[in-house]
Amino acid sequence: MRLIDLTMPIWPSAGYGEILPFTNTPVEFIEYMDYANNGMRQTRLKLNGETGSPLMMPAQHAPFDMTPLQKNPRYNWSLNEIPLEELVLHDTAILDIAAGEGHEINAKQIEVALRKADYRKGDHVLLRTGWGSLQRAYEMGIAYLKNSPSVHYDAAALLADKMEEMDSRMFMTDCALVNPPRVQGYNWFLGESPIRPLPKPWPSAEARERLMDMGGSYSYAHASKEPSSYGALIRKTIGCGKCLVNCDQIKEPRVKMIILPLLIKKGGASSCRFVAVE
Amino acid sequence: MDRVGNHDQLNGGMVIRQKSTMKYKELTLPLDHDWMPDEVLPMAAHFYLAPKYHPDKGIILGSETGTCLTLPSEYADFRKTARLHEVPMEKLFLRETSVLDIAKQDGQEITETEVKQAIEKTRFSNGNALLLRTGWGDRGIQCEPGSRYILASPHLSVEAAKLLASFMVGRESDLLLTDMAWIGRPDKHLIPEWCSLFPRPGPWPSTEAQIYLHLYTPEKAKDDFAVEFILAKVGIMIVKRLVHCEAVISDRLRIIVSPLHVVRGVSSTCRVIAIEE
Repeated sequence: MRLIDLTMPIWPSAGYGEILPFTNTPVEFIEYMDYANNGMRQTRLKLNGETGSPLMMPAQHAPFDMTPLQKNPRYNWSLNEIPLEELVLHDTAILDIAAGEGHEINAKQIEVALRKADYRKGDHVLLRTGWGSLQRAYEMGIAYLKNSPSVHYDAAALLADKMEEMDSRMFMTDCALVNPPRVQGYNWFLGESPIRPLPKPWPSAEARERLMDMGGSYSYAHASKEPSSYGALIRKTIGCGKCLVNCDQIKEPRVKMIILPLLIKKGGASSCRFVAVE
Repeated sequence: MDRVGNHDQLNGGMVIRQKSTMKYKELTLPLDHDWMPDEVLPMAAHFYLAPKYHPDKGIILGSETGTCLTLPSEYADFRKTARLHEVPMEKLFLRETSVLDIAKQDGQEITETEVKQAIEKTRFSNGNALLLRTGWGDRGIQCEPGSRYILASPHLSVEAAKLLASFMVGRESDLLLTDMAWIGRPDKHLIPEWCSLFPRPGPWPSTEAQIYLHLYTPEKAKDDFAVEFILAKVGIMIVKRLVHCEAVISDRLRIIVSPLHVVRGVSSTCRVIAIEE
């Protein structure tokens, strides 16, 4: 048995907590008991539903807003409602599409990868691009997300339909963002008028202004007019995981996945542990 | 939650490529933004889910919120030992585990004699993790308002901890899991000093908790956490506040302990799943 940890670590000021105005907020630690003064450590962690390698549900803003991001989702469960057989040692097919900096995976590439994969009914799907690595994440900071490969909407829609046909219920990827950065970060860090220098995420003044520009809600849309690739996938799945690392260490075309988010009652998203078992 | 799944099995003692039935048991105390039973003492951090338009939007929790894993490096004396991101996966994921049954009621201390008797009854293979089950996490006390879950938890005596540590070291075991809310009982300073305050202040970051911890010295910590120190000294990792352990019935048991992947962390809230064949 071989265990491979595919989880992005958590550390203060990690790039994934600094890049977007709303969905990712900064990771902050406060050592309120420390070795020198107390002889022991206790830490208060300020995380977010998308910290590290997250698992996100259709109603991502639960428990305060139980409305799913996309209308009529195939599932609409909260974190504590996911059956354990979906999370523990679940058969998973690897979908290989090598993608470098800034590449948007297209529908043709999905078609080819689906043909090549050993993909069976009921499998979870792990889309591996080769992007997710600890070294890159530690060295690149927010550029790790700005320059991440991603999934074009047409490709995501095709994959989502195939996953429904195959009764697949979880999507994972080592892309740092599922939506193309130009869509996710439209007029924040990319687009026609990106903000420079890049502001801090919520609750910065710039994030609050952006919320006003968006009509007071970021629940169901992003600033770009392009459709959401992530939206296409989350509508057809129990949950989606992103920002995985070390997927290149998987040698087999299929693995069993352990996917364990925090057990947050009525939670909509959580930092998660992803472990492949070969 | 009790789920049944059919799997082509792994190796390492399990059958390869053969259909069998495995049962998954959730042993984790849920993180509930309405109420957490462990926020009694000043060293607990308040668990908080802030709504999306609140300035604190996100997930705020302590490193020992709910069911949690504590490494020896939590204590200054052992700070040079492994941190969370350095613990080998095999020590936490799918580890074979033996159960040590010592039924206990409110406030009872586990004695050296009870540990000795329980050890004699347990089938224990070298290298297994050890689940010390008292029944405390099966009574629903963790769902009741008040401080009983924490303050009345069963706990190990110093002598019992020494025997348990010696036994585990002799069997090459370094992972102790339990359904108790505490391993020892911090009753030299923490409990008498904090619980004498009326009305009892909130946990950290209340002003009172900040002042109390400012005056809480390493010497006080060694007095209060003497039992934890005994186990930490021999390298034993501890998972506490498990629930529903009585649902575990099989001798063939594997445990998954899944903490947050915190760089240089020394403790973390975690998810714990039992897998029975």
